Amino acid sequence: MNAERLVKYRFIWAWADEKEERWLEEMAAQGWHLVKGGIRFVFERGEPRRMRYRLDYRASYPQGKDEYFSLYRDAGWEYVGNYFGWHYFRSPAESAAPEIFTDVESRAAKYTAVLMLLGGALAANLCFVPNAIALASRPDVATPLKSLFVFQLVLIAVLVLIAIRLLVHIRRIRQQSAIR
Amino acid sequence: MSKTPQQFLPLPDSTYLILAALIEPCHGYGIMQQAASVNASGIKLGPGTLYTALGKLIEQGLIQPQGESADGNERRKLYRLTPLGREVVELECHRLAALVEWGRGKLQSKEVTL
Repeated sequence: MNAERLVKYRFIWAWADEKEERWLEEMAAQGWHLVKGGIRFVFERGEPRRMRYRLDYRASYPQGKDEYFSLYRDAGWEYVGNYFGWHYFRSPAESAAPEIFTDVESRAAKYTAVLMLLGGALAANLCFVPNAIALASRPDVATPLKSLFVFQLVLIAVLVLIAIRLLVHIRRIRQQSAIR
Repeated sequence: MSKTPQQFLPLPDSTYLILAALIEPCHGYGIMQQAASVNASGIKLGPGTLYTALGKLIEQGLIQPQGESADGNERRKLYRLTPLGREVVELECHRLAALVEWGRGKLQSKEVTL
């Protein structure tokens, strides 16, 4: 017999990942345990349990993925799943597992890695801007193509806004630690 | 281009702990266990922080991978200090000891006046 399942759709910004963690903890406390995360969240019915959920983002694994997962397992964190580099871990609330990040530098580095990815996307987009301008200024080019250029400008603007929001978040993490 | 040992000082607590734990070859789990055993330090070492730190320390030439340990069917990477890493730990150890000595001396002189 299959366990009862629940699917929820939720889009969460990279800087709001701690909110996402609290939400997953609330779900677990109600007996809904995460099976798959990302945008389409799948939960499975079980005993209500107080859990800690944590998210990590990795774009590269210099010591390999095996080492990455074994460190988390050894520290007492159960691996739930991965969504485009976002890794979901959980541990019972009463367990002695340490926080996954225990210093400011590594906590900030998580968001810096997301920022680098964004920077790559932004750079790739900017490379095509001169071509697009040249194309858009030609009278013989059809309007639909020109609207594609507008779309690209909007995309660049959105990427820049996301990058700024992430930078603010990284600064906040650093400042919080300075106060403590 | 390469840094002198002095340029690494002062070390963040967690870095000092990782380096000192690697005086003898050890895996990441062992480093975390050693970190947890230094109760009075108040330092905790999480897996995400450790993974990031290991990569950085290898890049800086303070530690190096040293094969694997097989414990049942659990394979773990082993790390060890490089000569540079050892020098950095020794320097930091002396620096901290001097700080502690100074503080202790201050406390004792205070006791006399009281």
